[in-house]
Amino acid sequence: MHYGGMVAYNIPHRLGRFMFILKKRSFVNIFSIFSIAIFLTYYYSIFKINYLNNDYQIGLDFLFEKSGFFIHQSPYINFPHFSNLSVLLIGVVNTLLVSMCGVISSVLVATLITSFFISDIKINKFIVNFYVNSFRNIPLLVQILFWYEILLHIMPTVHYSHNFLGILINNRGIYIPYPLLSIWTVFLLILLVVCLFSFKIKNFLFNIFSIFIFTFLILNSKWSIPFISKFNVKNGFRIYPEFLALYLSLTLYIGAFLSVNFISGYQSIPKATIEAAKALGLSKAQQYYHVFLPVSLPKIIPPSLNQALNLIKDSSLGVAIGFPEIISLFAGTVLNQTGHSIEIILIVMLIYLIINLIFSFIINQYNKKVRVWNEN
Amino acid sequence: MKIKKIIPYIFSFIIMIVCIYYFLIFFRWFFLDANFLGDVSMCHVSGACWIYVIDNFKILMFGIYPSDQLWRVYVISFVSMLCVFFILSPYPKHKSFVCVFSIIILPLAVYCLMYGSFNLVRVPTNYWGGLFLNLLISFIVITISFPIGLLLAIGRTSDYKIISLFTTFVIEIIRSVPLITILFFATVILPFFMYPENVYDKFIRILIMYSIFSACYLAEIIRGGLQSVQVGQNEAARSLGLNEFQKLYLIILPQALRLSFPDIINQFILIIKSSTLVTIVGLFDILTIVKTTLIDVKWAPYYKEAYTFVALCFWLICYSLARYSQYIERGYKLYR
Repeated sequence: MHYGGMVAYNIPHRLGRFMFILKKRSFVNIFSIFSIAIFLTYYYSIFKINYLNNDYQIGLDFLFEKSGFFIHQSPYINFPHFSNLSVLLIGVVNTLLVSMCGVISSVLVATLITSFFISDIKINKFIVNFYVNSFRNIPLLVQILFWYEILLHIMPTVHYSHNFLGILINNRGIYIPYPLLSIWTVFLLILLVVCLFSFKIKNFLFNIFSIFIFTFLILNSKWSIPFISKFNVKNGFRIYPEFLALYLSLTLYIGAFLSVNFISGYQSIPKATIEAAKALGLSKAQQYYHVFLPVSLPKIIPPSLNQALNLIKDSSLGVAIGFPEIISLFAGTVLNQTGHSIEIILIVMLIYLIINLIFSFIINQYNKKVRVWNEN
Repeated sequence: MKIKKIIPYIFSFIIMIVCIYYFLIFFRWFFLDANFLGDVSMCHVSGACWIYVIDNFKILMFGIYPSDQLWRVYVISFVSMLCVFFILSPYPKHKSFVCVFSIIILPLAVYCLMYGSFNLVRVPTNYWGGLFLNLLISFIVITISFPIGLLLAIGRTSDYKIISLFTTFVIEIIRSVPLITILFFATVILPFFMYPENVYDKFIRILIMYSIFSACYLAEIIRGGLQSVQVGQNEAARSLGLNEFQKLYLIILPQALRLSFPDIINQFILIIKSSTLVTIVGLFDILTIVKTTLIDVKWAPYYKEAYTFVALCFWLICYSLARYSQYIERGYKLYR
């Protein structure tokens, strides 16, 4: 049992007080420091033996060597003579891309499911239960592999691909037409952005000028439209089946967890509040916007941000289907080529750590804000 | 006014019909048109071919463990199932004995029987596999990581600055990293920290790192429980003259564990689910075996059946655990 500084004031002699503190607290502190130090030095000595036996040299020079391989599924053009650092960057961008898309769509799925739960019709609750209990309790890796196999097998081959408004769908992915950038289109885009921000966004749909610019942009720019050539589809923006499978399974899996959060947030609203909102004569949309959301959001957002963080971590399962993502690119291919295992794994861990720190900073700031709201 | 009230009903009716339609299609594929007996060549295209599961059942469950030695696996699985049954049963008779047995003796028994000692034929860990391996990993990880997590949680809340700093450092770093990097760490970096004469087996390395990983998550959950115990309880315990250990063991921990019980069970479910990740580091768990069987031309078209079977196995285990936690929670509420 330790008494801290508080009780120690009662001891009159300075020496006695000092001895008292030395006895209890600092013995444990010194002991723990020593044990941690012994632990670390022991493992460092073993590491040194292994390090000297193998001719392994720790250093970050390998980051600036040629990568020597081409990544098809990258957000921007890359070449084999680019460095390993650029490979790492592509991995990070791909991870963030998948997780951004996944977060947005899983929030949409969760709101849909929650609206099912809120409605008075009982059959909808059955659907909610079925969705949540089935998708939450199946491992994510099984879901990813399942959707990947389904996408590869059910989609037609290239020559029999579905054509839907110029969008080609086959087992090599989805090909979407997109406008090519020229100086003229860039100018129009800037004009459009200026219009959007100069007028109120609420009036956007009624703003004839921006609609005019938008149609002008679509009609006037050159489009890269996908077509079937001899062996493959050419042109168009390609969404790969790996991305689709990962995105779909992350959406459904995290959406189930998020909808549980949302539903419990809704249930935490006191019944009297709901009844008061009804008694005021608010419509359903007004109730939702003015009463339900502001009351339940402080309870919903911190665990939901945690789920978003989980989604970023879970997107690392793209290794299983070969999605070029930070782990499969950097801890897979680059590790096999260069053999710098320790640095690579530590760098990957560091990147996830940084992402995590940013998120936890946001969560903490939000919690502080909520505390201020609750006090006032 | 009336039309406005009817619209949501129409909407939900449409959704219901769509759901029933797809459920009927699934049910027809799953059960009505499915093939349970006979040869693979007899399988209809319209229905599921469960012959895949029946023919490969032994491999899917126990991997490539030598078939004349399978009795060891049966013994271990029977004993551990008994342990799980006794731990989960709502009546607390002999519970502490079973817990001690499953923490200390069972891993030793697994080592002696599965790996082979006392004149038994030695079976290296790369012959272990199947769903059994997944459940074994998750069972051992749960039993080892829970006490470690408890210690870490107590360390994090302790007043000794150095201990709490060290534990928060470890917990935060490991919690912010995905499980795959931890598994890669176990397979690639951990051998550097062992004497080259006796580098541990890959299976054991993965077990070590996986249990540290889940211990950190459990520590964070238990810390939440510890902090939500009322301050008055702590002070009352002190005024009774209990020492630090008695205070923790008799008063604070029972309340904290009861408060954080549903989250702990959720974490256990997560451990069971993410035990499938060991397929990426190259252990022969059920997913690896499914993949290797699907390479065979004979079984290649039945990927749907394979993955549905795996999903069903995990769903059964995880969902029953979730229901169990709800049942226990209801008991706690009654108790209050």
